[in-house]
Amino acid sequence: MAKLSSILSSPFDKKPNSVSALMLWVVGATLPGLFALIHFFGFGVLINLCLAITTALVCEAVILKLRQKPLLPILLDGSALVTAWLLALALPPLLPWWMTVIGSAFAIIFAKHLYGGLGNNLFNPAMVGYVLLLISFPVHMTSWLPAQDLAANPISLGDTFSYIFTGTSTNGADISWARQGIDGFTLATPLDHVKTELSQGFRIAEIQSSPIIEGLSGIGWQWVNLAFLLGGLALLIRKVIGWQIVAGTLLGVCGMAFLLFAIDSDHYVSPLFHLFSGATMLTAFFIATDPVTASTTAKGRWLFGLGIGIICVVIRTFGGYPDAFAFAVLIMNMTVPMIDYYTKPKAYGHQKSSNGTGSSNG
Amino acid sequence: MERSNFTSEIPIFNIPGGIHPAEHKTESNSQPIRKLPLAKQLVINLKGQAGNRSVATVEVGDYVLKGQVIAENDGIFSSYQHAPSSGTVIAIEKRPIAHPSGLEDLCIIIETDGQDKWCDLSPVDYKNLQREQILARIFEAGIVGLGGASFPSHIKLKREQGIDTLIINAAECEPYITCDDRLLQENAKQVLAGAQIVAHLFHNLNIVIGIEDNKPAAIEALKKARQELQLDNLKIAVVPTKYPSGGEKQLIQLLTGKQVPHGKLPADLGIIMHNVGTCFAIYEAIIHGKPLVERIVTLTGDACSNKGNYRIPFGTPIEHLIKATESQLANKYIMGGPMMGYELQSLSIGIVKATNCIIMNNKQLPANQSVLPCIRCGECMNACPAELLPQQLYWHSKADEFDKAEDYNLFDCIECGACAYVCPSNIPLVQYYRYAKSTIRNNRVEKIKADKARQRHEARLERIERVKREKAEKHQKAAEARRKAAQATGQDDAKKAAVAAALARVQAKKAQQEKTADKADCVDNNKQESS
Amino acid sequence: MDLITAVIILAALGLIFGAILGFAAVKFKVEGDPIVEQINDVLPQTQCGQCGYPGCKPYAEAIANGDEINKCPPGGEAGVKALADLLGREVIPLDEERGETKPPTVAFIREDECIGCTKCIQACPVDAILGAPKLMHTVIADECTGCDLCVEPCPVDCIDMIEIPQTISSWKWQQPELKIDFKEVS
Repeated sequence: MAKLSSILSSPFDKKPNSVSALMLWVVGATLPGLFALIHFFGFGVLINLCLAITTALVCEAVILKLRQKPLLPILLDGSALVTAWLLALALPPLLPWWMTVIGSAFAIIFAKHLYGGLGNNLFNPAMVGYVLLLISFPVHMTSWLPAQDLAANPISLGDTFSYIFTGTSTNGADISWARQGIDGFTLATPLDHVKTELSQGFRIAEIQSSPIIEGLSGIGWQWVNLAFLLGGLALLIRKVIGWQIVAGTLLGVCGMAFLLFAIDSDHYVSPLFHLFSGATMLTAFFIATDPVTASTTAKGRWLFGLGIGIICVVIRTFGGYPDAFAFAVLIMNMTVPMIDYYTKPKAYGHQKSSNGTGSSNG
Repeated sequence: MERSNFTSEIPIFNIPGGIHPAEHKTESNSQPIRKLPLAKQLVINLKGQAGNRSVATVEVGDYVLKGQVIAENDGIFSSYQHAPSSGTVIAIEKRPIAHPSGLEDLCIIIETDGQDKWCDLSPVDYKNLQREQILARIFEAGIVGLGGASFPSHIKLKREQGIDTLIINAAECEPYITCDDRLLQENAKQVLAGAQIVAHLFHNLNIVIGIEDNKPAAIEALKKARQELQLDNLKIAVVPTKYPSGGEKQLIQLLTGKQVPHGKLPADLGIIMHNVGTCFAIYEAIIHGKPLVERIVTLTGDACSNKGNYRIPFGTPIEHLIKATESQLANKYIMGGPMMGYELQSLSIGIVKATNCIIMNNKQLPANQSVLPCIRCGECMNACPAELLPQQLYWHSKADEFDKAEDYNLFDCIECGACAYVCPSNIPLVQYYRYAKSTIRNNRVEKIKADKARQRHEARLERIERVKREKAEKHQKAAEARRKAAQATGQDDAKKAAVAAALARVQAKKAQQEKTADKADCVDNNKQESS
Repeated sequence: MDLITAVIILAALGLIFGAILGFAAVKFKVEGDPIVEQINDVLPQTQCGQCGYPGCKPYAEAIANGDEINKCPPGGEAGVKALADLLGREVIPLDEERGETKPPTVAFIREDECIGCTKCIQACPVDAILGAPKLMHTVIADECTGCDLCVEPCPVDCIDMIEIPQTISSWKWQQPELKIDFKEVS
């Protein structure tokens, strides 16, 4: 007879799925977006990816060793990979290498393992790393390249390496050289551009004539967002992520932006612009849907997503930063325990409608 | 697997959650129901039903005929047991029984004589019987729910008031199991006749038979049987194949859209539900007078050489089934289905009334992969048919926070295993829930015991106090009486004074002697005196 | 002058908030079991005296007055944890001097050896032993708390403490032991 404590309970069948498979799906689904980023902003993002992933895995291994946990099963679960991956996708392509390393290390060590490791962290580690960098190095973190089609000096692979590891191009030019547009001015991201122009008293209609925000949200960003949308839809179809969070986030962005746009379309950009600029799609499909730090109830996921969308648009419009998905996600992370508590689903037999005393015609 | 294209005769509602595990039904449902050679020994577990253990009515050495009562009920929430074959009672002792713990309990062991000789049977025409008489027959035939819970059927049938629907549960949603499927294919008419008997106990009962669409042959057989019996008030409700649609509460929700309110019974919604096997047993008991002595069991699994359904007498040991089907020894034997069954700790146990399936498995199941932390992905929540938050229940059960687990409606969990099936971290969720539930139940029992002990202790203290007080009062009264008496007869005073003086002298002398004695001795003496 | 104003304002604020707090304390007073009763509820009621007090209630009173919560072996670690939760104290290991947590037992009198001295009856804290002088005694097993107090006084040593065997109804599921068993069991 087996030892009593080793008696295993049913079920004796198991769906062939695993955490690492889920994580790999997430990574795979970002590929269209990654290709779009590379196409429009050069190879910097690839270097960032390598740096972030290496740092994350090394940090995780060291911490696991310190915490005396088994190394391989946890390293291979893919969660550190996803954290580093998402962080790298969100970073500007020419960010100095040591900033990427700091962000990635902080995400894994502080945001993940100091809370107890996978499954126990309150805050999305990638976003904690991102925000740390954003408030420590605001200039570097907002120095995005222009889409290479618009840039006066499209940068080569060599220049990319040089910028990341030395801070200047191969011939010694600083970052503003790479950011110059064809007209000689430094090109900002569409979100940044709109913000600056609005503060100088221009109206939306006037701003929209700029090539930076041509089309939906400018040539580069609209395609990047569309590519993330494509990959995200694949995750939805595979049911890897909760659809309520995605729907909530997109609805939040749309709703809040529409409200502002309806009040004053001269000073607030259209919902479409918000949807397809910055990191909206990356956030909605890949970042907000991190299950560990999101709400777990069906209703709660709606609220969580809506909150992110609304906060994101509010900070973009009224705050000091051009994009705000990281803040929005972290703020909503804080509310998760409360959301979960108040959105408990009614269990079977606890619904009001079923509390009737049964039929009396007997 | 083949799906029936028969459209349901009543509208089907949706149930939340549920999963679609591999069905593994075709392995066992293509063969007709067979019989195996009789085992030499039958081990009949007296706790083979939900409720109280039956009480043996035979003694070691008694010869019993098939169908003869060998144990009777202990109270209403209990059942009868009958000899599954003719032979001699060779022991009434503790043996390992069909239970996840593998612990022993009281069993009657019968050595069969191979004659398989029935006792006298008394078939009746139930239409001439009173309701109470039919119920008594069902009770005395030892009929319990054959779907898996072994709940004594007569209790379910007792309540007449307000019942308007009989649901026959033929969903058989668990993988591997096909005993109900096969029974319907071969004996649909008898099953429906059994349902008719049940319907006879009530007025104007609607009969609905709930069956999953993966049993087209059974559905055809049902249609045919219905026509032959001219059962016009019977509706066939075909539900989409999804585990656990066959759970009592789930099937009710599928067929009526209603939920059984927490803490209430289906009967409170006007519904009673019986399994097809139970209906067949009721038919046999009433029409042929045969008590419940055997059932159909699905023998399957990758280590089983002759997969299929068999009519097996209760008490047949698992090891006999292995030999009789010419199977190799397997790594694992599961009684019941893979989702809700349990692993057998011993092969000497006899099958019981709840045994619908034995899975003999060699293959390592994927559930044995390493366990990772919960990532709160919510898959379990999406799979839960009871609309619980399984990951919260898991956190609280793991941390022994039982009151919080109860707040999250732990006891509404039906332990169907859907959550553990889908968990990407391979967490054995159901085991945590069972741990929490059984610990809470044990704690309640202990609490009651502790309360009783406290009351008894307090009563004792009070009694001691009271006795002391009464004694003191008595002394006081006696002293008073003496004083009064002394006052009345003054001359006694002188006598008394003389006696007191004499006593004082004796004591002084004694003290003198003791002073010379050993000190320790002295202490000892005093102690003894005082005790 | 400023100083005086400040002092007056602060004093006034102090009075107002004090009054509010005082009112709230009366108005929203939490009616509950006195703490001794709550502690006593958590204790296992074995009445064994291993804690050094003549029963569970006196120990509950002692705890309420600040005694340690780790003196009850029958309650075990779980008992210490429950007390710590109730009182907001640290969970501490059981005091080993008080004895160790044993599986539940029940007293059994070997009846043909019993001389009927009634000493065990007097020792039993829950009146779970029946008998009269010079007549055989017996234990009411259902009422016995397994406290051991009757074993010592018996002059002929005819009382055994028997472990209560695990039965189907007392059996419970264990938490899965993930580290070792879960992977090994096939």
